[in-house]
Amino acid sequence: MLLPPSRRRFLQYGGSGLGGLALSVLWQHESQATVARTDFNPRVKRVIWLFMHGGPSHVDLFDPKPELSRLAGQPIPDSFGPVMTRRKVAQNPLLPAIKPFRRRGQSGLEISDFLPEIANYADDLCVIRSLHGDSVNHPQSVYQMNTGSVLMGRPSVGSWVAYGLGSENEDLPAFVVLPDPGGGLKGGPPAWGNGFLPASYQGVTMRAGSRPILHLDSAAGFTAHEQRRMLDALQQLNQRHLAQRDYDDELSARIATHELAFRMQATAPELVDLSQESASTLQLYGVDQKATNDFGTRCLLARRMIERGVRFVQVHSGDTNGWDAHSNVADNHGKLCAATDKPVAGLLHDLKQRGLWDETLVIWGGEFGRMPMSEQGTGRDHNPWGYTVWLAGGAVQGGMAYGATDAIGLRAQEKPVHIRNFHATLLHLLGVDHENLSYYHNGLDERLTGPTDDVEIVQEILA
Amino acid sequence: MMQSNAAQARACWFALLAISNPLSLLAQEPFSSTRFPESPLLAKQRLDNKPLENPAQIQEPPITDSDRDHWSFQPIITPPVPTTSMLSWTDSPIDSFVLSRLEQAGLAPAPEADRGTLLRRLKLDLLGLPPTPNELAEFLHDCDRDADAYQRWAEKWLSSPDFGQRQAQPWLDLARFAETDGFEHDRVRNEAWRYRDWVISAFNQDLPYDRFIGLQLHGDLTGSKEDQIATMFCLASADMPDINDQDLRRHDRLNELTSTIGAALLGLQMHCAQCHDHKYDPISQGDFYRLRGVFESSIPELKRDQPFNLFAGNDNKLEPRLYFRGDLRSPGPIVEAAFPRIGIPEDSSANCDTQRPRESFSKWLFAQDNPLVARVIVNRVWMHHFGRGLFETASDVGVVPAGPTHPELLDWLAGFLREHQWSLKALHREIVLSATYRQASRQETNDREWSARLAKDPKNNLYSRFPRRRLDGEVIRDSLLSVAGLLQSEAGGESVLPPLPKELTGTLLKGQWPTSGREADHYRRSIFIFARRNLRYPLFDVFDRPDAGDSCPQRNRSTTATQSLQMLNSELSNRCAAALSQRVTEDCLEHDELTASNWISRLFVAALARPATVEEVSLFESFFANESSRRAACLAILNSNEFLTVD
Repeated sequence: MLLPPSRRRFLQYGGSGLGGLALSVLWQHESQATVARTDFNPRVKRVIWLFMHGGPSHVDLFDPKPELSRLAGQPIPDSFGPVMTRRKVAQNPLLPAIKPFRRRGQSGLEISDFLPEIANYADDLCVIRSLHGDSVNHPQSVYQMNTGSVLMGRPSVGSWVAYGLGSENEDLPAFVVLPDPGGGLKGGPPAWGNGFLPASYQGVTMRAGSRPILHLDSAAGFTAHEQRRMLDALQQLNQRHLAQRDYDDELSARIATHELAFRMQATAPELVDLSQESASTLQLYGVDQKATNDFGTRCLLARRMIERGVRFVQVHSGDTNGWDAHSNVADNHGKLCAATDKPVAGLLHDLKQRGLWDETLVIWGGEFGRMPMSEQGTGRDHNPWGYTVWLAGGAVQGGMAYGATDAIGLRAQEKPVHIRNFHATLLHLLGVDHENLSYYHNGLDERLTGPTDDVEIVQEILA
Repeated sequence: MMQSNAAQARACWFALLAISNPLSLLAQEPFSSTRFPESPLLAKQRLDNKPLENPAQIQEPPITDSDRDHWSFQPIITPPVPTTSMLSWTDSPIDSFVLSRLEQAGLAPAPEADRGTLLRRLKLDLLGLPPTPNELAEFLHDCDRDADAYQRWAEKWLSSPDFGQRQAQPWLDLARFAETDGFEHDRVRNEAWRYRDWVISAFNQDLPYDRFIGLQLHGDLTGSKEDQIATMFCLASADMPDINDQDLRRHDRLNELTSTIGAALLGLQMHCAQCHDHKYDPISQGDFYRLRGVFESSIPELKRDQPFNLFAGNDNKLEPRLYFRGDLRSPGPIVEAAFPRIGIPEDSSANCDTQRPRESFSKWLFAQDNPLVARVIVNRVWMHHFGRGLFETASDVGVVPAGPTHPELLDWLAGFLREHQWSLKALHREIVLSATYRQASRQETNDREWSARLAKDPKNNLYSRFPRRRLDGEVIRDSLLSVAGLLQSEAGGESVLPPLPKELTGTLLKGQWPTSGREADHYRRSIFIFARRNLRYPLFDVFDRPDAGDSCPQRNRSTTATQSLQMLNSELSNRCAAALSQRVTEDCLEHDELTASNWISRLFVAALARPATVEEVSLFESFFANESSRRAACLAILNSNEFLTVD
């Protein structure tokens, strides 16, 4: 059995045997390993990450640029230097914000008319306007935002959190992904994969409806009663087998996972059963409206999951193209904002009214933003060099705009936040020191933030 | 405990810095070669593509005597076989090495496993399939008449075409093999299956390991199309053909292949040195880029949207150079192709022929004084049979991990492989015929020393018994199909795509999982299932198949509820349970009476290669009543720990 050194020590000192098993039941049997908590109190216990796939336009939603209006129609001034782009847009005329921005709330934080509902919560948002990454391509940027690396196959942020902190509910996975039914991310499931971490830490995809998890129902149509009878016989067989094998831990664990799987057949449908939610709650999330039903349902599911102890929920917005508005920002963002604005606002409101606000972190953002130049007239190309992600929850400052892009929104300029700093800050909020959350793999103690030691926590945004 | 671990890592890092070269001070960066925001200055440098100011020479720490003292860098000198007191047990020199350690610890080896267990172990290890009831009966019959029965069965299975179909998968794990590019488009590599077939065939024909590796490094130079396919090993990694910056694509691929070759063939974690000198091992950044230089001329400038997955001669004139921080935008001094210095003994004159660098490299790998290659491969073969290596980190012979539990045995095996002209089958044979391998994994009725073994050798480091382990996902599927009588024997050719739930295919681009039209194809062996990088076949996925992101020396072995859900509820396991039930019923009708006890007994033999006990018959008796219950009983057996593990 190949184990990381930390795990080996854990087994050595933490004790194995049946007593030790209770610690690791059972979603994460392999290694509830590192006990990565540092000596400060975690501000956040759980995360809901609203992943806006395709790259929403910061200059049209959260990062107003008056200079862009002034220079509308002109090429980018030489003073900005050459810029790497995905498509040949570098010389295209600059395109001003599609819709007006307004000051909102007490804080006066500026938010576009694209998002009137979220704008009502301006005083609760911590808008990082200076995020930046390293690739103009979707999959590399999807990977970097979700795993810390532009290369394929590294463990995702959710899997790191699952590995470091586990689930608060042993009947549920620590890391759940609620995909967009319209299609997957560019880059596919590796974006929520476990990379070199054990498979038990990968994101478990769940859906609304009667089959929230794959293989939850018997393909042979066995009833719960028949299954129980079968399981009883199986477990008696397994117990004899176990007794003849010195009560081997791994064998015991599988006996327990069969029971957990059986229990989940009841608990997982309950998890996604919205019939117990009040009409006003359904309205709050827009579940009652056609345009917002899908994303609203998934936002509501995310709330139900964190209530039940799931550690990390990622909700995807946007099918395979998603927010990738190359040709017409008004049309693309118009539809997606209409589908998500109310559900997101409803989620923020609901977290507050249910007392979940203080210990939950909400993240909103895509794999990059969009260029100030136009593409095909009214569209925009990818921009990883400076864009917006916002956070919300009791652990971060509300009504805050942190950092800034340059005058036209091309590059992060003031207080730039590289993705790795964003990840380190996210772990910090969860009470985890990114340097200590590591896994021995191919000769290295690997970390989410990589081997570099110039990673910084964004202290100013912490509440 | 993690803190102390990390603190220790930091301490070593600083200690090394003090004696390391000044360049490494710059070099503490992650692997991404595009790590800075696209500032105007850097963008300009990138567009100009000029080397930055750099020193003319690479300064790097010399290889010291203390570096060379590390076990893996010592020359391999075949050690004498130790003398032991219990002569009757030493069927192979392997056993003498194992026994001598056991005797030192005051332990006797475990008795031989019972015949059925042994047969099941042997077939699962060699062929990845469970024995059939007929095979079990024949084997038991043979054993009664012939002392060499086990040996003959081992021989038979070593010659079976199924052998390569099992042995190929661990190699494909190492080769981070998949049949698609990954990233956004995850496009199909049309001929990738030919590499899979090449590996299967190489193992079946027992292509000597030196030739096996040689062809994977430079098969394009022989003029044979089939040999050229072998070079996919070097280029099987994920790739993004539509990336804007094709120089970056080439850079990333070269660095990746250098890392994989270092890990898979040499057991050196070269990848740590692409950005900076290795923090612990004597591998400098210069070593990394000189090794990369061996392949530099084989990857031409790449063209957008054009695949490049096989070598085709050496025609590139780009000069190998070092890249500071691994960053393409920070080109450093020019280097010359060479082998990692720590692998070259002090008195050796090994030198890379820069006119034929890949051939020269592969020749050096198998030179008599190369200390790494033989140790690394014999350990992998050992690991295949015992579930773990003589050293556990099978792709890392560096200074951090624990060394081998049995260093002399390791070197004896390395010597054995060389003496047998790098025949891997000879090595498999020697191992499976050893008494060490044939030990019981649990207490046999007449074994009084079992508790002493558990007490004195709790982790089984001394091999005082056979280590039990869970089967791999691919073997589980093949076993399900095999006992159900559904497994198709057709081998080779284009990969097949069994049906998948739409929830899974919905995470892909349209048309990326076109289900194979012929139903029989859905029941071919796991090795022939299409390996899409962006979607692992779900049963393999939950049972820890690696993601083909990088070279995987050994899989995790997790135990999760999603495994149970699939095994209990999936279409596949229920289809197999139904087929097994029907098969057992027909079997009863053909050979004796269809009664509960006959049916249950035959079920156990079919699925677990042993008859049911009296208690087990009564446990399942009530399930005999109707077809639905019989299927449930079959499903229970297919989910049992006994079915899912090898004893």
